[in-house]
Amino acid sequence: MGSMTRRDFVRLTSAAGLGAMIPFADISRARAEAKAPYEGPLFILINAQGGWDPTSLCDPKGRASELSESPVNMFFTDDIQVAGNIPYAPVPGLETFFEAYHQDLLVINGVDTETNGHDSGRRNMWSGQLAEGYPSFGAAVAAAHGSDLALGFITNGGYDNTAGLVAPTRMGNTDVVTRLAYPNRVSPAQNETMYHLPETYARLEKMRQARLQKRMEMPQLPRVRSAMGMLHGAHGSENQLQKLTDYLPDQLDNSGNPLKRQAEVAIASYKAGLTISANLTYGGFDTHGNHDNSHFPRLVEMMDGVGYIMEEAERQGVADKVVVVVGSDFGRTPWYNDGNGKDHWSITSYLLMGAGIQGNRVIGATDGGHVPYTVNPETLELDPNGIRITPGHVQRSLRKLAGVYATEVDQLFPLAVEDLPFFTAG
Amino acid sequence: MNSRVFRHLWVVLVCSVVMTIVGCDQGPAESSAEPTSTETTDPNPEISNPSEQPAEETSESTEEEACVSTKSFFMQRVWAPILSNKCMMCHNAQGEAKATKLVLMSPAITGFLDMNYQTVKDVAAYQHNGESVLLLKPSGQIAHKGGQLFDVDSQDYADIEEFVRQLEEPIECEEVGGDDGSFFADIDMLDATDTWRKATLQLAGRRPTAEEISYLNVAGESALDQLIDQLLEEEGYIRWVKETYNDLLLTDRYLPGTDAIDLLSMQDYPNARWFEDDYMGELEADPTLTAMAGGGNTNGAVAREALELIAHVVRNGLPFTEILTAAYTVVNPYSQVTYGAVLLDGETFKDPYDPNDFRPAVVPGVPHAGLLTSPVFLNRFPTTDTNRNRHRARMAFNFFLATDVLKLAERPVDPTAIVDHNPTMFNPQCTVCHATIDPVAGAFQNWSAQGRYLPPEEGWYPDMLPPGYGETLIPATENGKSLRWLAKEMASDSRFATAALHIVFKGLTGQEPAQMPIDEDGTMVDYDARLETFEIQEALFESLTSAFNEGGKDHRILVKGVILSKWFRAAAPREELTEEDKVRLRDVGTARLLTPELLDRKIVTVTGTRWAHNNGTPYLMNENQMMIFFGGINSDDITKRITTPNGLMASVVQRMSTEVACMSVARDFVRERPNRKLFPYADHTFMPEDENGFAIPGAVEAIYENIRYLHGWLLGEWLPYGHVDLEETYSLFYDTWVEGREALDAGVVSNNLIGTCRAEKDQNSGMWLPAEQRITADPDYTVRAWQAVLTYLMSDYRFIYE
Repeated sequence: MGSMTRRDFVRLTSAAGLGAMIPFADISRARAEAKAPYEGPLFILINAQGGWDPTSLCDPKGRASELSESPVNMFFTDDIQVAGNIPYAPVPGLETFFEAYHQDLLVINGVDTETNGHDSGRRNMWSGQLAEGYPSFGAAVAAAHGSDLALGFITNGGYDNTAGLVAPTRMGNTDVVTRLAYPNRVSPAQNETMYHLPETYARLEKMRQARLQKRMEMPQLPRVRSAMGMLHGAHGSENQLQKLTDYLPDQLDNSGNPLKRQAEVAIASYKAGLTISANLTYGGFDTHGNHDNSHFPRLVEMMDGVGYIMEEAERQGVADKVVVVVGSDFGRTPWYNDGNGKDHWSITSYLLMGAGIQGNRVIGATDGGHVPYTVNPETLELDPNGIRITPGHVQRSLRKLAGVYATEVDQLFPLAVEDLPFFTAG
Repeated sequence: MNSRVFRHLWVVLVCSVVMTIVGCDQGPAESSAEPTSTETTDPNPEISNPSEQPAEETSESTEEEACVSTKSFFMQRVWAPILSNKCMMCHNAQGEAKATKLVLMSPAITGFLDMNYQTVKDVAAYQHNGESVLLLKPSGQIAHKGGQLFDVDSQDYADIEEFVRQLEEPIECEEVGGDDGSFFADIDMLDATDTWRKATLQLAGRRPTAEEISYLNVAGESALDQLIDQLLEEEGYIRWVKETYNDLLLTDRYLPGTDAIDLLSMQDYPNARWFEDDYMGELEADPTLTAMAGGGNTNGAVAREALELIAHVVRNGLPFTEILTAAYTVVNPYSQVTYGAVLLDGETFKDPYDPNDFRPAVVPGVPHAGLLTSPVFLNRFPTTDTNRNRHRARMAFNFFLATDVLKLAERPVDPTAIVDHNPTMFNPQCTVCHATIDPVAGAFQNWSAQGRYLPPEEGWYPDMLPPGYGETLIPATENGKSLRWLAKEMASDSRFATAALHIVFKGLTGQEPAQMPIDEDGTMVDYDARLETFEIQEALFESLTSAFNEGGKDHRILVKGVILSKWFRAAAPREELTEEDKVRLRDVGTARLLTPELLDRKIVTVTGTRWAHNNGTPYLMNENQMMIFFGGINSDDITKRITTPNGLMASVVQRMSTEVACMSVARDFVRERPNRKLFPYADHTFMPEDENGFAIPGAVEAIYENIRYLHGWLLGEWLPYGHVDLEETYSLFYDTWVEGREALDAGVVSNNLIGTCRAEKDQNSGMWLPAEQRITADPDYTVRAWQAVLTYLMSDYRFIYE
């Protein structure tokens, strides 16, 4: 940058529509640009809250015998299972998922989150950057393709920072959605009795928008204008919600597995053309005590939920339009503590499947103590002179897969890491 | 001339007539806050914030050379580019230079700049041959284990040299409330009246009274000062404090059923369930008390024990540190029985059955340490045998010391390289957090995972740092009351005031306090702007925390300080901002979307009607209704508010504005006019035209005046007669009325109002109104025309934002 000061740089980037817009992207502007309907995939991003144990799942480490000291796990190495090319831990119940989906599944092991902190781990895993400020992948892809959608980015938790790019949406009781979709109907179920005459209601809506637009054209503080822009973009959503009510199941899953219900809403909303990405969460993995008994059932139930997502996508006719990414805050120590628990460990894994992802593959690896091997950045083969895989690498590839790479969003929040061919290498 | 313009001119001309009919400036409230004649001449007044208001500061000062204090020089030229980037990696508490005198604090520690300034100042005093070691070591002129970092001709050297020179006679700049005038120079601030309106709605959930507005109009800022003092005596403020702290403590999770009582050990509290039918104990309680103990009166008191303790401290103007140091808790008449608590000397319940009467008390055998020892706090932030209270300690740092301990480890760490024995004590990758957190975790030693007071029989874990606070160990004599000892230490830490202030600031502005930017690789494009914001805000915070510490640590000092600050009052720029200013000012101004709780209260205060189901369920306060959709939390699995509006939230606003308009218009009309909230000027019998299409004198003016009033009442904008916004709203009323009458004539709609839009009962008593007072039909379509106006205004930006 030579002698250019930061202030000069700010001025230049602002003029180019970059710096100044970082936290205040105006979604109404995107709406005005009338983007073509989004036809890309639905990105379902699942965080195993608390820090899962990949060695008990997709990067299995057993003990050689009962005499092994300080084992990573209590199960035996010889009992480790394999589905296609994918080894998995001999945890009863996991076979259902791996046997059914190994052909679709890409496992990335030995991912170094560089942290043991929950918040920073989630942030790194889902934004690609350890430091604060970057949008989550879900927010980034929604901003790049659908900032005008009422429910572009649904979040059920996890790292869901939007960096001001899009408005995150949280779904409550879906029974209420109908009332929101038809705000002028006294009873949402019937369209005969209205609070206002239709022409009155149409005038109201037009006046609301005009007044807000007029206000936005006055001098405003950036934060205020941004808020107005968000509201402007959010107005007029009832038509979109009406579509959603057409696709929501009459009865949402009530099995108690939170992933299933969250996924049903996300897929229905995607089918209605309203959603591009959804953060799903499954909690309870922070097992500092009694690890196996607490952790294993949750792994099984979570993977059951992932399988359900693929089934639901199939039922809804969008199986070829869904990408599922599963990750966690970090991993867990390759040893048990005094309470038979496992503490925080910075090495973890990703599971990916769906549109554009070649399955039945494992990329990256760790040694017997769950320390990552380095990989060749071009071939992704293990290479002692290679590099450690980080969340930034995976997120960069996901951005390419999702068409976020090289967009304005990507330029605003660049991931300055190597390009690893996770999805192109065969 | 079209009809709208005609009306516009006509209304202005006849205003004097209107005044004689309904009293233009004598509305039931806030009428005296209407614009002065100056405002009426403004062709385009930006509402409620007239641009002709003189600026508090001029921009002339920006043309002079700005004063840079030594401390600012340190922050900008020494800390940020040199110390944090080149020295900190070794000179930290775990680094290779940890044994030297130059040990720097991480930016994750609140107050790190002050601490580092002092440390560097001390080190700079050491000299070799008359030169400061702060210059000699990094430039390699004397031995430095870190080697030469820069040479004597470098800018870094020159900056440190200048800093050392300044230390001999530090430069201090005159600052006013954290601002030398230039930062906010081009921004209009809310005047005293609008500041008051914003404060009353947010803190007390009410509108300003006419008397208050009159006082403000006469006495301005000095009135505001006094009124805020009075506001902070109101229970609304106490409620706001509790809500603000529940966003952190999340103890409302235990409000349902007997969730809070379920946390209590029957061994410790055998009478915990004294009021239940199957209670087997021997306690014989007052039958009336027993009969009233259900329905949340007992469980709610246990669930809200921590919040009620905070409320007690604030309400009574006690040092805010007592939320941690109090050697008592608070109980109401019901939880007193549950705990077997004894009221402090001289305390008594005013009403022995009032569930809202909380009094200080002690539970025998419990060494109270404010909210830290409440069962709900200890259970909401539980521990395990291996976590060893670290989670509790982390939360204590977060809530009461403004320090996120995990941020200490946000620089990349590589635990896979750890081979040490007991790394949490000996490996720098781990000790970076554990050295801070483990002693505090140890101070929780006497409290079990279930929150019971059970001192460990064999002492605390020997493979952890001993219980204490920082470098100070807990004296052996205090072991049984270690949390009380910890509370005193935390209370005397300067970060306690900062933490309390941060919570107030976020609660009032909706914004996180600015963070010192860290630009390790020089690529942060908005670094200067962030640094400037941080400096300005930090100066304000310093002045407020000083006032807090010198003012008996009264919580109200912080609240009042933030309300009066420019961060709360910044309204709008006088002119369109440059791109650079957009970056510089991006954290200024409170564009705060109301929380479900605030919106719920606002609706009640402005309409007199709550947005609720027929069965009484308030939509915005129920998680199965609109609360979650509107970004609220349930303190259980949803604990983070959504603060930017999305499509669903906008739809909630539309539904709310439509339904509340329906529920409140007729109900307001049946009140006596002086008691009305919405229609002090118009009646539902007022129509703009007669059967022949001629304007009805008096009625049009009243309708127009009421519309003007509604703009002020609902949106806080007192617009001059003839303002285009009033014209548009009047057109909405008129056009709706016309098309409604046509629909009535055509039989498209009924004369009768929808059931929920009718006024049939007295809202206060719930009794049926006399038949002649009820409004169940709308043959003139005026009620529904007003509903359209209300729907329009209540879905406006200014209604749902503050």
